Amino acid sequence: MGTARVVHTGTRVDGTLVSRSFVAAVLRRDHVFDRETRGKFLVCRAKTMNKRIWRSVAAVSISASFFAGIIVRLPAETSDIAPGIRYSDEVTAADRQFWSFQRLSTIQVPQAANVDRVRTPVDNFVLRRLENEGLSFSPDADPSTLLRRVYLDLTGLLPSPTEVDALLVQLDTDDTDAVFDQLIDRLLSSPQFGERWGRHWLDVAGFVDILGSDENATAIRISPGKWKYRDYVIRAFNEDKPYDRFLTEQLAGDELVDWRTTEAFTPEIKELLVATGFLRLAIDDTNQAVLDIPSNRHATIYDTLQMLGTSLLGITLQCAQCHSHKFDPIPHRDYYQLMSLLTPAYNPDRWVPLPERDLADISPQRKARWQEENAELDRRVSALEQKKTAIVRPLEQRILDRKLVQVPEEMREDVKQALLTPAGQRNETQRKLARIFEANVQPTQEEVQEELTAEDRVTVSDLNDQMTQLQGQRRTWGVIQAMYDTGPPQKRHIYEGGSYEEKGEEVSPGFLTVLSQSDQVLSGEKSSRVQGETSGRRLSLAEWVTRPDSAAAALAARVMVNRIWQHLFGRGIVDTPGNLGMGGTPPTHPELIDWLAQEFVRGDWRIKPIIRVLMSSTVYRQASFRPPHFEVPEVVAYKTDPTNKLLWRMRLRRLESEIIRDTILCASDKLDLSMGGPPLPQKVLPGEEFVVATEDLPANSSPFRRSVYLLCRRNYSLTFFSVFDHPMMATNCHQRNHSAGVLQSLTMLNDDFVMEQADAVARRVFAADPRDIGEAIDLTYRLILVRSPTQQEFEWSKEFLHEHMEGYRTSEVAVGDPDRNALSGLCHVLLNSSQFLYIE
Amino acid sequence: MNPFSPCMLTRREILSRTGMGFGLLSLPFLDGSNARAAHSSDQQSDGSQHDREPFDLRRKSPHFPPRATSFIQLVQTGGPSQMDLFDSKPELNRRDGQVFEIDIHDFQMQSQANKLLGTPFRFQRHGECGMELSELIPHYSEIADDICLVRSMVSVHNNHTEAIVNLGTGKMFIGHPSLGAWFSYALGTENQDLPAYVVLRDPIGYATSGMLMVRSGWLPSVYSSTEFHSSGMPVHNLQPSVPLPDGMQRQRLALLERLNEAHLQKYPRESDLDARIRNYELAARMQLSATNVVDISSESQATQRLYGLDQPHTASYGTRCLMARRLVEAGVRFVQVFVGRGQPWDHHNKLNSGLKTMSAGDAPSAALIQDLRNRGLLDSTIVFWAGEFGRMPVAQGDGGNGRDGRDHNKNAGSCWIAGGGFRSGHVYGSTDDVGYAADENPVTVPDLFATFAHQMGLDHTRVSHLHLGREENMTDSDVTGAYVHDGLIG
Repeated sequence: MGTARVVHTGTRVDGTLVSRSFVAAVLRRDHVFDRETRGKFLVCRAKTMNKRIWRSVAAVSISASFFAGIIVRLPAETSDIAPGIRYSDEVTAADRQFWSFQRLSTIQVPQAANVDRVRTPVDNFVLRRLENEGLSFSPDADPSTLLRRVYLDLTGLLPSPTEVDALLVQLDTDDTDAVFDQLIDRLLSSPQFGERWGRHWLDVAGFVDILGSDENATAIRISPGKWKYRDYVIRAFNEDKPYDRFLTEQLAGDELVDWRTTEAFTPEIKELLVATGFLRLAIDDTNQAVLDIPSNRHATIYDTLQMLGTSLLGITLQCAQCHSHKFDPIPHRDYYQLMSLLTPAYNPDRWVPLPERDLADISPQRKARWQEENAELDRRVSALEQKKTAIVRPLEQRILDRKLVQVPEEMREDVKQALLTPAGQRNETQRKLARIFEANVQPTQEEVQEELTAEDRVTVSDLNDQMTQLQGQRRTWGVIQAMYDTGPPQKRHIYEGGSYEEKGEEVSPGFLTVLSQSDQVLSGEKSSRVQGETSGRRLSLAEWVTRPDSAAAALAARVMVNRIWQHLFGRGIVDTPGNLGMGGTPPTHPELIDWLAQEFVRGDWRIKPIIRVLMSSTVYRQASFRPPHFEVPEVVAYKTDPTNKLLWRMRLRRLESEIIRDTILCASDKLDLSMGGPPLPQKVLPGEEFVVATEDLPANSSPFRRSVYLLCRRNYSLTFFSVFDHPMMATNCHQRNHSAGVLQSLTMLNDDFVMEQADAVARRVFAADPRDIGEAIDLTYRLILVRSPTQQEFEWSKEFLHEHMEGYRTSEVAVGDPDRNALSGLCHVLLNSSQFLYIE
Repeated sequence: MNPFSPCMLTRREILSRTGMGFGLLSLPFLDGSNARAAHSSDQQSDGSQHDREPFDLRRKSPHFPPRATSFIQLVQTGGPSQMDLFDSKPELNRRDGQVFEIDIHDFQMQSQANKLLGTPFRFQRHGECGMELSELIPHYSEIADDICLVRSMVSVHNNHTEAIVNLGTGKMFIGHPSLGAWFSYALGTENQDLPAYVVLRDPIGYATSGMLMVRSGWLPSVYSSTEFHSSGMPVHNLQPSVPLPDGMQRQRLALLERLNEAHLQKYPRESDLDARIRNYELAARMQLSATNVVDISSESQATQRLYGLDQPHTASYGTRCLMARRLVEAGVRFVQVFVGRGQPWDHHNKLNSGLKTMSAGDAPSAALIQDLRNRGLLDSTIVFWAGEFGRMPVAQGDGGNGRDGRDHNKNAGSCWIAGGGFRSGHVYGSTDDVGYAADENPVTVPDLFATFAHQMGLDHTRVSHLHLGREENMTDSDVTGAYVHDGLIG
């Protein structure tokens, strides 16, 4: 089997067409031939109920009880496989030479001809490439456009007019580049930076506040403590935690400290445990006993591996689950080597279901002690309860007997018995009776109070006080959704055809062969950094993926700098940010991505310096359109590079759903900038419209917190967000869509939130007490579009306001001040304008 | 200034120069843009999807002349019981109570006794074709000669969610584009005043996992569905909740268009900006058209009765069926109707009474076919009635309350297709003696998609989109092996 290949239907082997019917015919003889005697065609049925398996196999449905997919395996020498498709179990030297699988080597920075446009080495790479094609950069963007761009890219917020004015004054006197460099530094150290860039990482990790599959629109099952990982990510970006450290904590924070035996959790221990929440983002429905089955447990592991592969390494591992990878040099075995790194924590054979897997945010020792203390409290409370019952019970009986008169005589005894039986112990008939009669017949607190003697009343009240006081002493603690080994490692095997029911050869824990030299299998020794009772396997993975000068670290660095580039330029240097492998698109600037990766690693894996160098470059500062008569005309540039792959102008980028909401709230000055904590709940309106809840908010929280703090669901985000391409989080998301559907227009035109905020902007303008209509228009533009209107826009807006005021004045239905209504109309129009939705 | 500098071109000039002008849109097959046929040959060397034509809903030419131009999917989630409705099994009745010889692994619970369960419902022949159907669905006698009944539909999974996702997208993994999204992507739509792809669900709630079969997945979200409501305002945010005084919206839209057009001057080639301007025009038109198209009060009493609007148990589903006809008539490409909330056909217990309730939907379903036929729309409209899987021939039940339920069964189920050149009065495929598994001509969901596409004038292997670096077609045919079933058509 080791050398077998997988072919798809439609290929020809030894003159025989492997067709659907052929495969079906072989399969139909399943009961006649056993596997060995089926000639040269080895056919395995993927006998599995696996969810979400990437079944890259010929799926033919036939009438068999357990059919899901078919793999036709053929001897290695009979290959008639389409070019570019491999399914190879071997990793060759040539495979290691693929651009992204190589180790980083020193990159010579090229020299662009037009040195005047070169601000940083990055410009040399990009401009040189443009010059080779006879192209050039566009001129620098004008300062107010650039200001808005820098704010939106770094914080996702709009600057206030005061901030803008101060900067424009500075720009008049100081060196433009210096002013922008200072601004970039200032925004990089603002807390809102972490919220903006943390959200990018949360996409990559596939963060949601829900562990389950979230298939029901109205039944929202929030998993406690998941939000702590979101806050961890935001903090990490704000602190500029070195990326190698960031990955290590997320993969194996729990293995870096001995949290199992420590007396008390330090903040550091908690932080490290919370970080491993990264590996707890895949769908896990095992809180429902009926779903705690092997297929679901495996699905959680498979999804986690898929997320790991695409997020850290930019590789689509999931193909290798059933067979060696179709495009990349990832043998079937590699998948299961990697999987064994996770199985001490996610053991499909000894699964720890939810919520047992929840970890307390106090040390196990303390938890044990507190549980004991709580049990002692419970005992004392129940002793008091008994005393109280001894007094109250006879009264209750008496009252009950009195009230039972309402019940037909023949049922009285049954009803009485039913009501006297504690709710949990009633049989079905008693439950029914209780349901019917409880409300009318059960004695109430007040009735019992009235019957008590004065003396007893004091005693009961005293008992109640004591019980309340004891209850108040109960210890409570929070939950961390962490990844940790739940038992010692066990033997692992390859799953033939991806089916866990067909175990193949045994595998040792290890890494991807193509990215390893000799160490693709884990040696028996644990890393010296491992603390406490744990296998250390995930820490080995972290060390493998961050080891300096290794191919794995090179790939991890390339993936991350590509993402940083993507967030600033709209598209990555590799346009498939989740796939830098052979099936991904080639880089537009191969040397640049390697140079950036190298700078990244050399700079202690810090992200902010990379952002800084990119934003200081001319390529970032250029305008997003080509003015007429500028150097190489637009027509020529367009003809040479119609999709602007080479960046002869800055790309126009649409805001993400969350940023649209946040910037609207900036303009209206309603945004609540408080950070962190449990998510803001969602409310489902009739007609299944999803909005931010206005009740039951966390303490001191307004409904206008930043969007990153709203409840994250897998399938049902805010309606406002879904309309603007908020992703569904089946696993994770590498690139947001930026569509322009009609529902976006309808939402911006008619949604209550937008209307209310437009009105709030108008109030804000009025509160600033503008001298005349001209000043009002100017301020409105500066609040929403971060610039003053052009002469023409000014005239149009003025004309509109007059017309609109007139309309409101003469309207019989309009309420409120016509002037403010009219201005609210202008705000509404500007919020709807294309300019508002795009970063220019 | 060079008058041909692109910065000087107006949007409309660009449109007309690139062959996407509005004037041409009214002519079928002449609008210059073709159905998405993204093969490696017409891809840029780097395979990047940004190099494609803009993503919009303008009408696209199919690959070849189509038999059908619109599609209605009647979604029957839960798993309708084929042996009680469509697939008569005398042998099953004869062996009622006997232990089934096949050892089934897929049970949830309470079926372990593995005892066959016959049907109490009688089957009769209907129509000139003599199609054998259960007494539960008497209204099918009106349409037996119109439908192509498939008795050999197979699914991929015994769980609702996976099977529903499969029914909606042809794959059981969440996140793939739905059939409606593919057709909108490939063909655009006829009526530019309405969305291309409309979903009509039960106003009391979503079908479980139903939202997973109505989305564009990794296709651009412009191809995602728009939900129309069958009561109240038809579309979210179609009108503001506090209406603006007369004429105010027009004033706002006028200023908006001025500002957006001026902005577009700087970016003559950004198709999204252009799409956005057109979307505001569409939004304004939709405010009228969407309200009108769902206004069923203009339908005659007879039509309303036909759809069962006068009966409490059929009024809700009947309304959606009637709305579906009106939408298709108005030029909407794809309409997806959900029969009810939750999993209405999921009869693990109370099978007989449950089936009696659900099968009342036969009247609206049959009405839709008759109405389309009478209006001459059935030829150009494919109507597809199916659940995500069938049910077991063995009983489910704890013994105490009798054997009155059936568990899910991915190995066989019945569905039907009408119109659009599908064979009428025809039965395709069969199951074994007891209806446990498809026997002759098993049909997968991807097979159905391939066949639907064929009738819509598309080669399913050529409707594709770059996904994670891989050009993936609408049936993922090299993985699913999907093919057009000639036996269903012609």
